[in-house]
Amino acid sequence: MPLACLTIPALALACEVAERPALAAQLVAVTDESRVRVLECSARAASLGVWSGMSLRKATALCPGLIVLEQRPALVARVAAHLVDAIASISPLVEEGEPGIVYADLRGMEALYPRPGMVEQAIFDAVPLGLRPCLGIADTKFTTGIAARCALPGEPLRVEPATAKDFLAGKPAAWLPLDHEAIERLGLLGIRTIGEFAAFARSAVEAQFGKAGGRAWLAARGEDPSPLRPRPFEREQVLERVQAQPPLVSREAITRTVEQMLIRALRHPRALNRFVCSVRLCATTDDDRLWERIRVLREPAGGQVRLWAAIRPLLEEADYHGPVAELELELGGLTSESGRQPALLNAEQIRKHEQLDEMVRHLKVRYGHPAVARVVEVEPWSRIPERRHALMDYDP
Amino acid sequence: MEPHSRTPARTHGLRPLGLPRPVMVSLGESRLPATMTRMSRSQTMLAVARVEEVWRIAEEWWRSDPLARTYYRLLLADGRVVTLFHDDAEASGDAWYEQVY
Repeated sequence: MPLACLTIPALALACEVAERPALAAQLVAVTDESRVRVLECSARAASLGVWSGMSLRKATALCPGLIVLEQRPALVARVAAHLVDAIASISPLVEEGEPGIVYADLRGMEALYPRPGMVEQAIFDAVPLGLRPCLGIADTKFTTGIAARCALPGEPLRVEPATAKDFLAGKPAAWLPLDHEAIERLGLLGIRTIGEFAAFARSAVEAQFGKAGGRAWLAARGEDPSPLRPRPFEREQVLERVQAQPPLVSREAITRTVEQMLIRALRHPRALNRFVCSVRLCATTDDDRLWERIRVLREPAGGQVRLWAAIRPLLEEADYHGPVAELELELGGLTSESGRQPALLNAEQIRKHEQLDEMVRHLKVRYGHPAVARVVEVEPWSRIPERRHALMDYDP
Repeated sequence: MEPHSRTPARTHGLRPLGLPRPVMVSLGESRLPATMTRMSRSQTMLAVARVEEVWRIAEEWWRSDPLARTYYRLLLADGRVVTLFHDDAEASGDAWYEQVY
């Protein structure tokens, strides 16, 4: 079996419709983050002349009843990640394209899905409900992508190798894997379809567009040489998530919460006596905007102090887009310990600290919950006294 | 495939300090607190000797549950100083709290 490409057309809009199915039949447009232009619009809005990239002012003038939704990047990222996970449950070799586009290698899966249509059905079943996925199946990556683009939601489109060239011939040349400038030049040269492009000699195309042109020429003939690049095998990781209600508005509160998340993450059995190679921090605002940072550590680090030293600067530089409703901390690439230099001079202090931690652990076992807490500053400038300080569980 | 360690989301573990405690207050002729009674077992009524300071806080007026408080620093008859506030956003109109300010 060949390659598959699963796409969710107009992903941002599809996410909104999946949440509120009544929107499907309405005039709907999703704006970009600057709230100036239309990012995606529903078929009904498109039939009235709204198009992606149009200024919002024009779109609302054109469709007075247009329902304008603000893009929710966090929701889109979540759905895109679910989509990748869904396909990964069918095939282990999965490549994530742009958000909402996933490629999978289906070769060697005949034993699992022996009858025609079984694997297609399995893929559709794995996709979260309400997303209206389009599935294309072909022998090369480019043809697969175009097949998915042309497929109707819920109806797989399979392109056989023998018919790939003819299938591609009528498609717009703008879909070729070339940069924006090259596509513009194709337009100026009067080349409108992939078939017209494929009709030239390869040498002529390469003379105009270089190596990329040669690859596009092969793709246009259904012989795309670009391989599927499966996402790398994920090393072990620990993920800690926290929901804040009411959302956190102060940087100190966020910092303290992340500090506590780190302590909890390090207590996970998988992280015990292990070193961490990378740290990912993600904050979602109450209106689903996203802030995310990934730090790959120069060398694997273990222990709260060293990891906090890597995480804290990320939080200090963070530019959240609003009150934070959800925080996610991921300790990735867990490895075995690579050696540790013990302290020589402050051994007594460390010993006392360890004794204290041991006592606190005993108290927790006895009472069933952390019995000792630390007072931390949260919003020291606040005029509301109960917001200035907070108690944070001391839970070594 | 390695199972994911994804933990179910939990609420953040920061507990506020210095939360206000409800008290009963009777007003004098000038509409200022004249006595206060803590909600403790003894429910002793404490007389107010003097109102030392009054100030008002109005925050988050753009939210659905805005915050509006009128604070009073009171000198009690027994010489202690306490800070009370009236919750102006409370619908009942009779919500008084004591708070360490």
